[in-house]
Parts: sequence; C-alpha cells; structure tokens
Amino acid sequence: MAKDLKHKEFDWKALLDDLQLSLSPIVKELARTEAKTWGKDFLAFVKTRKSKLEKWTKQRAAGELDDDDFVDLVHGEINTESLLLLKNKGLSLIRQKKYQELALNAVSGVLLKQVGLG
Amino acid sequence: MQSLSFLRPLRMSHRNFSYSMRIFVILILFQLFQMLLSGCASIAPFSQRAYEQAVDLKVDALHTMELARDSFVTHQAEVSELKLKVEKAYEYAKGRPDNELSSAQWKIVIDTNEASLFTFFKRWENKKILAPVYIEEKKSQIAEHFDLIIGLESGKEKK
Repeated sequence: MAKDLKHKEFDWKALLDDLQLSLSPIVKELARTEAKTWGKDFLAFVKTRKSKLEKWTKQRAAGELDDDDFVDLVHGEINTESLLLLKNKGLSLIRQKKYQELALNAVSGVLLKQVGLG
Repeated sequence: MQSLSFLRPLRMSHRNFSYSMRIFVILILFQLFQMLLSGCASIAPFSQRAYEQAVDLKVDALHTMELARDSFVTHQAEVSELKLKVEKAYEYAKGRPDNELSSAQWKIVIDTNEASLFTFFKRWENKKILAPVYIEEKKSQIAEHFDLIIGLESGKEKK
C-alpha cells in the first residue's frame, strides 16, 4: 500500500476532508455536552438562589435576620456562584482533555492513512 | 470545496511530491496538532489528601459555626485551630502544579472581605454572639461552598 502511494499525487483536499470528517463529530459532541452541563447548572443555581432570597427577605422582615446578616448572606451567594464557576471550569477542562485524546487519535488515523499505514 | 481553492497552486506544484517529503509534512502536521493540544490549559490530577482535607474541614467548620450561639471568647481556641487548618489546605492547594482553580476556591473561603467562612468568624468576634437563624443559613451556605471544592477535587482524573 505504501509503495503504491509513492507514485500517487499528494492529495491535500482528501487530507483536509478526512480531518474534517474525523474531527467534526468530536467537536460537535464536546459542544453539546458543555452547553447541556452549563445550562443545567445555571438553571438549578438561579432557581435555588431565588427561593433562598425569598426566605431571607421574609426572615429579615420578621426580625430574625438583621441588615448585616442579610447583606452577608447575599454576598455569600456571590461566593457560591464564583465557586460553582471555578468547579465547572475545572470539570470542563477535564472533559476537554478526554476529547483532546479522541481528537489526537482521529488525527493520527487520518495522517497515517495518508502515508499508507492507516 | 470552494474554500480550498487557495490550495490549488500548491497541489499543482507538488504533483510529484516524494514519499519521504510526504511523511515529513505529515509529521510536521502531527507535531503542530500536538503542540496545539498541549498549549491548552491543564488541571492537576485527583489528590486523596486534598479530598480528605476538604471533607474533614467541612465537618469541622460546620461544627465550629454551630458554637457561634455562645460567646466568641469561649471558643476562640477552636476557631484559631480551624482557621489554621483551612490555611494549610489553601497552601497545599496553591503548591500543587496546575491547581489554580482549586486554590482560587480555597482563597474565597479564607478571604475575610468575601462573606466567607473566615468572615463568619470575624463577624462572630465583633458581635460576640450571632443570631441562630443567621447561623443556620450561613452553615448551609458554607456547606455548599465546601461541596463545590469537594466536587471539583472528586471530578479530577484519578491516576
């Protein structure tokens, strides 16, 4: 096979087409997973914060929380959001690493095919 | 493939591309792709020690926060001991390579200007005693903060 390829024209178009064909499902899957995960977390976060804020507002009105307590709790929620973003960013990096390995394998396959070893 | 028309001259001029040259180009392309991937941000692997630290500190922190129904002076030693342990956990996280995200999380916990665990102790010290409702709500919030630290650590790749 490799011997035959010695006399064949180097086909850039075929190489790029193969690369596109191998990489596009991986990229699509990565984008779909990320959008789903981040969207789900964001919605859950907003829902929980809303109910907490309602609860604290009532407790504040009832005199169970003073103004400082209320402000501290609200600021604490900003911390929760920051911590959640850091966690999601980290987990997203871990997922991306797995997809990178898949992409590397796909590219190796395409390139080896070009030299007749795939 | 209209977009690939720019490659046409290249294709024509390399009609008799030698096999060794082809392998050379393939290797260069592969190397470039690998460089592209290695340039992407990486993250530290899972650490059993970091995980246990976070779990233990969550339990200790919630227990110590419960004591805020009493005077701060009575429990000052416990608070100092806990703060020291949390600072050690932060330093441990900061010292691990590729661990910026986890160390940033610990930094939020120890920052006294951030409505964090350490702010809770500062408020307790200033107010001498804290309201039971506030303690309960803050405990739930701090528990969530620790869960997010634990969640990131447990999600890391086990090697």
